[in-house]
Amino acid sequence: MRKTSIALRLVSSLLVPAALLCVHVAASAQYEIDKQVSEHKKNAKQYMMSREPEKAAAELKAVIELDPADFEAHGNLGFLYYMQNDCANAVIELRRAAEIQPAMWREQAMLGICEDRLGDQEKARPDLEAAFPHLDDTMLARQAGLTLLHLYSHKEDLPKSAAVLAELSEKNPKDPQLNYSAYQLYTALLGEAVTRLSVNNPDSMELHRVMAHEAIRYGDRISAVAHMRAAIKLNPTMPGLHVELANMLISGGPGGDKAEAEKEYRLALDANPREVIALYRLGDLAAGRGETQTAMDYYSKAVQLSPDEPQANIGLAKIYLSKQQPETAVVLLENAIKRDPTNEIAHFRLSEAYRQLGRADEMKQQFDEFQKYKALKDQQRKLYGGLKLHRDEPDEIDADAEKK
Amino acid sequence: MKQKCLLYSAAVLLLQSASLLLLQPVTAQVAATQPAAQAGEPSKEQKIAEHRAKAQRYMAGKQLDAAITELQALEHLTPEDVEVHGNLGVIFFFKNDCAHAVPELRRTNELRDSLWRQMALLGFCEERLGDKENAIKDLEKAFPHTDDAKLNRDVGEALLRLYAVNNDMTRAAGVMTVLRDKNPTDVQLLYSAYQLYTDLANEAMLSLSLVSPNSAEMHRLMAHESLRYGDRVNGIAQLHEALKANPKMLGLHEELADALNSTLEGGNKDEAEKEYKLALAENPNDELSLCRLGEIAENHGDIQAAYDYFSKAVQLRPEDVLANLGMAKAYIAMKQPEKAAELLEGVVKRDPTNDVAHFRLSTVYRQLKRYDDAKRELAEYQKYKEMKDKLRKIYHNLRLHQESPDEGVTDAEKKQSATP
Repeated sequence: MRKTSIALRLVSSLLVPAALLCVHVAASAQYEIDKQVSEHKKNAKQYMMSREPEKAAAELKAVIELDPADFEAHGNLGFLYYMQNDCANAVIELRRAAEIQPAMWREQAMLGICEDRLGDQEKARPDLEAAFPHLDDTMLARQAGLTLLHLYSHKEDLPKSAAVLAELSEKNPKDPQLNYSAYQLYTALLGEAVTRLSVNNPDSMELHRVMAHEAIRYGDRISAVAHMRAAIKLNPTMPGLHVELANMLISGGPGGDKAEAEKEYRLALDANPREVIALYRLGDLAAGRGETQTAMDYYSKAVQLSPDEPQANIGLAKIYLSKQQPETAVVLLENAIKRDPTNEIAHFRLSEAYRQLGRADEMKQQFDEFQKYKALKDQQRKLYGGLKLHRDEPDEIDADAEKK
Repeated sequence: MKQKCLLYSAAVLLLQSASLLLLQPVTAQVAATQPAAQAGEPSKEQKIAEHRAKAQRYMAGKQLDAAITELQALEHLTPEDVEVHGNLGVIFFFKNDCAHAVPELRRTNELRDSLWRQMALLGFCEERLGDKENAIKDLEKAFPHTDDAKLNRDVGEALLRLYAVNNDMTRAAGVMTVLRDKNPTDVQLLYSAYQLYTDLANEAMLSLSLVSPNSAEMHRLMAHESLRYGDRVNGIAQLHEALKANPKMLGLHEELADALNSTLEGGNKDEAEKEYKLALAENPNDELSLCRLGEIAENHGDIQAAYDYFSKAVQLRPEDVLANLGMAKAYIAMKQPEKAAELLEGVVKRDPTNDVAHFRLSTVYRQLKRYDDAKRELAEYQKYKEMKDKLRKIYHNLRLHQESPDEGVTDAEKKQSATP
């Protein structure tokens, strides 16, 4: 027993230093590898910064040779290939990086983009769907989003496209390509809604309502009014229909009929006494006939119900201006502008209010704003004219006429 | 009125499934675990148990005012009890008393933030009281978690109303996507979708016209609008302008070719063929151009060329309807009806409403002497054709025109099919 224990002690006294020696050797070998990896990485970084991709790639390959599990090196090498449009090699490296270290969103997004370019859409889609919500880099997010849109368009997955586009547009509101994609997508979605309505409910009130709006867009007011009347016949109590019909009737030109419009606004008000649009439109009609007190009553009620409604505030302000009470008009017009800063009529009337108050600088500032927004709206009108389309809303009071 | 209905239905729904919140049957439990009260003066716990039992009874009997009195007494005794606040909130909501419902429901959500139904009710009430900001916040939180279909729809519609007031159409589009997914044939929702997407398309159009009025994108957009309303001549002119502005813009050659590929005014089949070839040179994987070139070759009587184009398209996208239809037609011309039948059966399986596929399948079955099948497919063709004709009529009334080239069974095919 004692002999055994001595022997064991002897053996262990020999083994422990040997093991320590092994550990020491291994550690120094690892130290050497780490040192080389670190050196190659440093070089790669420098070459990447000095835009020498080939040299950077060679350094990264050296890293991978020393440490095949270095996801950073795989990721960076994949990035270099991606930047050189070498998707075949980029995919290998980026996929390896993702295998070693999941949730590297930038790398996964580039992987998805490259997979799509190589025609492997089945793999591209999940990679991009996973990465897209996490991307901070605006450029890469845009590219990933556009690729996803492209993939969804193949599958005709319009709802998913809408979600991606909403996010992209929020981040890039002035991007023409995205604006066009948005136009294309929403046109497709509205077409899909119309088709479904036509298939499932061809005689519904809703389809007549759609047909009315499409007709007015195309400038066929007569047909629009007929469809809107058919819609009301099918569902006389549907909120909003009388106002929509009245809005179509109130405009001048063929199909318009102000007296009928007034009737419809009144019907809308009978159905819902809190119908703000009907109130201010009836105010407009009364004001047009010179019935100032009636107009004022309508506008005041509308403002009371919806204090920041621009049209109601503008209408009421106009009456106060005619009564030479510019202080009250200013408050109302500022309300309108707060809600709709691009409302050129509000700016125009505010400049008039300031004129009455003798505040020349503010008058000028508001007049400049009026001109700025009027020019913008004229541009929009020109666009609609060029497209032979008509705006689906009643004519606004022509501020120019007032200016004269 | 609508909002009242909504509040009512949501409250009924909650009361019906009130197991989530209704007070636990704790009477016996409390009585068993608490020390006996001194004679004449019930302990706090006994009072709690008594009020709870009464509240439960009144709620079950729908005596809401009496239930409120009991719950308010409980609230005084146990101010941190989430169930008490929740039940009070639900009852006030049910009574259309949003002013009182809001503080109770808000407290409920402060005490436990995963009570999605209560959060939805809080949002409804905040909307009614004009507190749009908080209504949006609470309804947005509740929307993804409300499992009940009716409540989920009510929450979604409330969000759509609130976004409309804020003119936040992008967020509205997100909610609409979810609602449409869950209610694909709901007519009211389809109309709302039409309205929203029209607004969004208009917004994108105006935005583009301001940001980049002379861009290729703007000309492309104008081309689509022209084509949509049947003005092919202007549509083609705008696409030429777009190409001038950006000759490398992907997809333009194909769009121009589609516009040209018509027998109607402005159409020019030879030009269309050129443009499809340019599209293909730009992107050899463009299966749509391959299909169109296949159709053109087939019209020229060059069946081999047509077969080559279509088979390449099928290879690229095996499930592409147009490619499979075209290739099947080539097989029919090459007197290989078995192969054609296989492709057409695949198309019908994927798209049972495809009238052209049914028609060609009836032709193929006749060639294969499967007369019953041929008869069935012809009936299917007639059914779906009638349906599509109705749709075409509606589109015609809407003055909307298909932007894609003319498709369907050709007269030549019909003649050929009528031949025994």
